[in-house]
Amino acid sequence: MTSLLILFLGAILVLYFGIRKPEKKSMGITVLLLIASILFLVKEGFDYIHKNIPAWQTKLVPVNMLIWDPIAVAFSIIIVFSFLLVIGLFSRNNNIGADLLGLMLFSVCGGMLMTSFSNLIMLFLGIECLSIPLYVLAGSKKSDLASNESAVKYFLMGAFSTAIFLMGCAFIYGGTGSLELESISRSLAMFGHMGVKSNLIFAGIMLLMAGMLFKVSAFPFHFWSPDVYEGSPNRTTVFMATVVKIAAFAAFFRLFNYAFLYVNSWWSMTMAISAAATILFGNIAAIRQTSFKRTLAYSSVAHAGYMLMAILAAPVDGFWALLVYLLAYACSAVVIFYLLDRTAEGKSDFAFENFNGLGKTNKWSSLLLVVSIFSMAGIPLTAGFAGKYGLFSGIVSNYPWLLTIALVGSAISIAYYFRVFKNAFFSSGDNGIKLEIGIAEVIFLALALAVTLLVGCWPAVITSLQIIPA
Amino acid sequence: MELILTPIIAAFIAAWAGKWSRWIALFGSMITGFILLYFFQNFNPAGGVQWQWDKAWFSSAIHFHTGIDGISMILLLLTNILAPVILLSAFNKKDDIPLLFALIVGMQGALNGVFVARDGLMFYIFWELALIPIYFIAGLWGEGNRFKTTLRFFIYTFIGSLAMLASLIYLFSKTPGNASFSYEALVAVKLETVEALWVGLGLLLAFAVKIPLMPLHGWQPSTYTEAPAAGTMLLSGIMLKMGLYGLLRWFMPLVPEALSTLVPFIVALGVIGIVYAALIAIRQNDMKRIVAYSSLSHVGLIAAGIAVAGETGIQGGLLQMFSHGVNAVGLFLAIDIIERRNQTRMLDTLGGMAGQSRAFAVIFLVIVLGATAVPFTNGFPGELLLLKSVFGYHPFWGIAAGITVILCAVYMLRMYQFSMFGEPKGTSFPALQWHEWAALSVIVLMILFFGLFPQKMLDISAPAVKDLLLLIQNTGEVVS
Repeated sequence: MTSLLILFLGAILVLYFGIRKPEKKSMGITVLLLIASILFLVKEGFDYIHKNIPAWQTKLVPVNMLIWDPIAVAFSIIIVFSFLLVIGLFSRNNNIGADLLGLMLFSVCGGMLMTSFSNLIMLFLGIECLSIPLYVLAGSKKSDLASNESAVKYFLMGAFSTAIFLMGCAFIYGGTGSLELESISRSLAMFGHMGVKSNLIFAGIMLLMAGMLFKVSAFPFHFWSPDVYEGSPNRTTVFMATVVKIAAFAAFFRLFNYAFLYVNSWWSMTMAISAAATILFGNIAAIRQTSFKRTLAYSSVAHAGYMLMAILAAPVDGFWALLVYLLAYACSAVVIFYLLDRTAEGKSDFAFENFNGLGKTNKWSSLLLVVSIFSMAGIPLTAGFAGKYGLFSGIVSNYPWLLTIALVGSAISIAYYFRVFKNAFFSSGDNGIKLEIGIAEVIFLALALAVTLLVGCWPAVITSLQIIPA
Repeated sequence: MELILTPIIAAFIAAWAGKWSRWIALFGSMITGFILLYFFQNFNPAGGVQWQWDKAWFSSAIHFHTGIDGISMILLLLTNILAPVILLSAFNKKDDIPLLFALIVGMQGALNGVFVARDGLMFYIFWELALIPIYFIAGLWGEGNRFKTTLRFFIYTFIGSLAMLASLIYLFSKTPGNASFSYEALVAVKLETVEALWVGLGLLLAFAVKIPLMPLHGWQPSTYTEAPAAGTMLLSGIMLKMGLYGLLRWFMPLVPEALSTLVPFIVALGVIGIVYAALIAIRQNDMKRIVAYSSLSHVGLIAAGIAVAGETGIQGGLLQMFSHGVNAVGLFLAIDIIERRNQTRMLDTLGGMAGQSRAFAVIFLVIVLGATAVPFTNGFPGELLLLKSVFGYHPFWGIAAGITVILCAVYMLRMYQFSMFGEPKGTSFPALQWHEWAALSVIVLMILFFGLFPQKMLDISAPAVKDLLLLIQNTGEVVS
């Protein structure tokens, strides 16, 4: 709660600073805010475990609509952490205005609501609070036609999905008489126990699933994502790929594994099919792209498919797998998008050819590229493998066929991930790009690299935290 | 543990060490060799799995568990003797050297990890890790259409690995209480025959791609031909043995329920591969391609012999794994030496080198004879045992496999004759350099020594093979 308030008030503060002060200061303030909020999040996690939640919090949110349990705290921490990486790496020459920074902070607040809701109203508020700044951010390159296009597309699609989501909430309310996860779960436990199926609630769950599948850009609601990812400025794209994705999956996980757990026979097969289709579609579509940015957009669709498997796994296993996978994905996506951004300087597109000769001129950047791509592809001793292993072992006993599809998808993904190695290392052409990386960026890159390798070599560093009762 | 970490640390230092990297890499590699030698000195073949090192790693279920038994020991010896030889052979590559040496010595660490792993997931992790250095070696310093070739190689093997991962995770989910990936626990799992078949196919896919067995060998000839000499040596000398080792150590004890169904296919594919590859090898002009196909032919025999699952076959297979590793590295080393001096390795443009360098001609002859399995070279005893075992399985396959001996003599001697005799076509043949001498003499010593005393090698692995057979027949417990 405290951290949410810090970020929210901080966002307003940053907007005020933007009126007069140079932008550099608002950057510094934001970084401080984020670090403070991570610290407070940790404290909140401990508060919850030791059951001494400050009294003012319960007064502030009277009907107990937000729960800062360790699961919410864990997801919030990686949201804030990846946002830190995003602004640390994508604010070169201070070209990030205070207005954009403020919008992003508001969006992060929405993301934190989505991790900690215990009431569908709060979830809805979170989604809106996350999305509305994003519509603006997608169009933040005002003079660029593609950016405008992606803003309009994202807005229209997003508005539709929100409507569908609301409809689902209404159906659930009609069927169970409540919007609180606790009581929804209790009434559904009855249905699950008696083996009765309520069509109203079933329709509600399906509509909610459609809304959430849209947010995580999974099949069959993924069509918006490649265009929006490609058209948006890089900073927004990577923001969508990390912060938004983490928040959406945290919400998805909580909604389906808390509220709808007892009737999982109603929805799990639909979700499994969606996951399989997402994995196959994302990976196959990614192969044929010529733009590396678009390839990454499709690969992000494929990753959403893998992460859906976490929701199908048993709750505890699924949580750890999802947490590790999201962290791994965020760290590697930020680094790869950073390199994409830097190599495209002074060029008109984001083709694979931009990476030509990177391996010859930039040793450290190529190390970053290799580790991040390996992590995305799930090669052992990177965080991506630890996450994939968790996901795979979570579903193997119930969905062996889905595991097979996921493995086929992983094999296909090698074809496009390694394509960038061809340009970076094996191509004879050398266009002599020399990246100059500032000291601040070095710190953030090293942070991302360290997390990727540490979690990859020793995932117990995360999974042995005793934060949830098994 | 030491065997894994020492080379990997050396690799990291070597990668940033500039012009000293070759020495650091060689030093690290040889230190590892000496550590192994120490283990070997104190190794008791009948003592089960020794020097165990077991710590929880990913979680309580996944351990970093290493241990050496007789079977591992042979492959460790092979890896750690050949790695310095391969490093030496690369000593005069001109550009980008630090990375090349770092990758080779890093690869040595990963391979050691594969051969000492006593935990399913750890085995998988090192299996994958071993793939990465070779991908970069072949991609960065290869020739021809190297990106396409290496990508094909990587995708082939990666699909296999993923299938293996699926099988291992499935087995894991069947261990009591999802508790352990350890070798003992995985072996103890009893499966229905249908399950076992699927799990077995998954494992087999990984190993068959790596060996490579007949229909899955598509990556092999082009990768061998286009990879740089060091990469080809690593691939043929050591990496192939990963597949055979996996077949022996993991596939057969893990799914004994499926063996009766799958073994006939493995034997058949192995033997078909022998004949097919040998016939192709006879027609080749590129020396590297000849050896690539001969490799395919030899490993087919080893795979068939191992799959029969008798003591003769497995012992012969282990002996032949070692010998084939040494011989293949020797052959590729000789070809590399020839190519460096003539700027070509096509048979029709070579000739007359015997007159130019007598010493090299003799050494090359020894290596060629070793590969042809002439008695008193190291190729002979293993091949004999393997043929005996395949013949015992079914005389038809035995006879078909026996053809390999004749065909092998044909293509090997053809290669030798065309390159060494006749009118000299190259301008001159500069004398061998010191590092070439060093590498070649290690190879020749191994060929002669194990040709004369094969029993030394067989003694190392005999008790371990007996234990393994008990596991396969589903009657034994894992000895540890």
